[in-house]
Amino acid sequence: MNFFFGINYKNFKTELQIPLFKNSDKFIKKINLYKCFIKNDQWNYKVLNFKKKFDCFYLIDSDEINNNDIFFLADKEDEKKFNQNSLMDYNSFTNSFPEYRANLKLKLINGGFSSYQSEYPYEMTKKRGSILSSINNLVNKNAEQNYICIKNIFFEPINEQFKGFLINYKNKKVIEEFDLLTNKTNIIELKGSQINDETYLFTDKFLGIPLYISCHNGHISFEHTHPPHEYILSQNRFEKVAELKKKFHEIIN
Amino acid sequence: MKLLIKKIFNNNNIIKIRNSIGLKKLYLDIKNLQNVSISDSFLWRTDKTFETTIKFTNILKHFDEDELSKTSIIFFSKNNKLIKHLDISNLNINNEIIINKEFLNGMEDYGVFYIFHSSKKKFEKNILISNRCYVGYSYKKNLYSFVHGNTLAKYTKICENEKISTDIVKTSYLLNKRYKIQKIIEGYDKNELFFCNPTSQIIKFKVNGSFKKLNKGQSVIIDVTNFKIVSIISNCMFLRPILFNYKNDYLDVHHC
Repeated sequence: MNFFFGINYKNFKTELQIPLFKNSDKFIKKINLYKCFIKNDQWNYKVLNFKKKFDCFYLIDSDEINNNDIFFLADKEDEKKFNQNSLMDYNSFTNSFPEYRANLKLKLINGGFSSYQSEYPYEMTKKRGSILSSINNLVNKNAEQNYICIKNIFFEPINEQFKGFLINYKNKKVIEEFDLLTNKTNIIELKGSQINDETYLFTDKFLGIPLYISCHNGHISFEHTHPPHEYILSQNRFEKVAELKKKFHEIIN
Repeated sequence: MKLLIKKIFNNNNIIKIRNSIGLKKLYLDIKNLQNVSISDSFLWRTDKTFETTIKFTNILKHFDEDELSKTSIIFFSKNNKLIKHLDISNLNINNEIIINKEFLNGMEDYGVFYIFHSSKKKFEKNILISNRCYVGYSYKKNLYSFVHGNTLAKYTKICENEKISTDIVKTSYLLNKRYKIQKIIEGYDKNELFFCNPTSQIIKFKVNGSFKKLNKGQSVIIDVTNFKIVSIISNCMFLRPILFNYKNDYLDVHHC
């Protein structure tokens, strides 16, 4: 199953579209939209009684989106599985091939817009690890603003601090170090001087989805990078990626 | 005997029959590939003031420190005619190429490109690599809107000078694969869908009832401005388009 999330930052407006059908056109009528958030060190669940668009989409706008809450689809029966101490795999509704796609649209006030798919797979919430992502692939050195959003969703209801790094892989040096939190959309503003083809984002201890935003002249680009194991499809993919990440761990240590 | 049955069951024509009747459907297949570099079908466009940028990682240099590896980028027209073939050595780990009409000898159109990596190195274990490139589209000289790779399409042996093969994506004899785009596309000035045929077979499909056909390697951009929701039915088991949404001079490009 998948969780969904949004971004709330400065001059961005967001809209999250969550479809109530699979891409094979299979439609499920009695499914609700839930919001999930941490309060008093526990997961809290709230059903959202939003009006459906065309009977087949839930639309969540900026007023309902912050950097902490997550959303998911479930039916009444799934509520029995809601657990205050752990996120669970409530249902298989958003499991499909090709993959289920929600849509998170980021808009600039009086400006452009850009979309990203916004799913965070349940399996990923159970794992710890490191993000490794080349920053130059999706931002523009000459843009007015560039940001990295690092979204982490962890199954336990904790806001644990972990470290993120910008690393020059060629010089084997840490350019910048920053604090991140689990179960949060973390937003880092990039300086133009940090953007080149040798700079990587690396995190220690926790995984997440790295999303990149560039803004220039009212236009915006928003997309995620693939995890490195997407480049290798053979059985030794995780071994190869572990070897590479080991080199980055050596730089930060 | 068991091996023979397995071989017959996985024959391409039998897979088409399986996909037609819904018996153990197969959408994509890479399990028998050995030491290959796989490429998606990536869209380039230079029509209507568009420029395209390709940002890609030299995978063999990045993961295997193979300084002598080469990268080939092969460009085809929308009708699958070869228009440019680049063989590049001495690349950085991360690289960028701008595709505009000057790069393509004045061509203002669209089509696909493929990216492959090659090496003379002997690999101890089977390795399959796939470049999922990030491709940006700039409309009217504005900021690039980026998408990543979407459809595994062609492959070649990592050792050099081998032929390019296809049919990772499987097909059916019938138009029975439904794909409903999970996005509302109302409220824009214009919407376009880009489709390419990632197979060696003829792909037939309907977009909200309108019939289309793509021969091997061909690609097409279809205007879907007047629809709120788009449903596709095809004989291709993985036909996921790229969506271009336009409003004023703003552009949003993404897989859908």
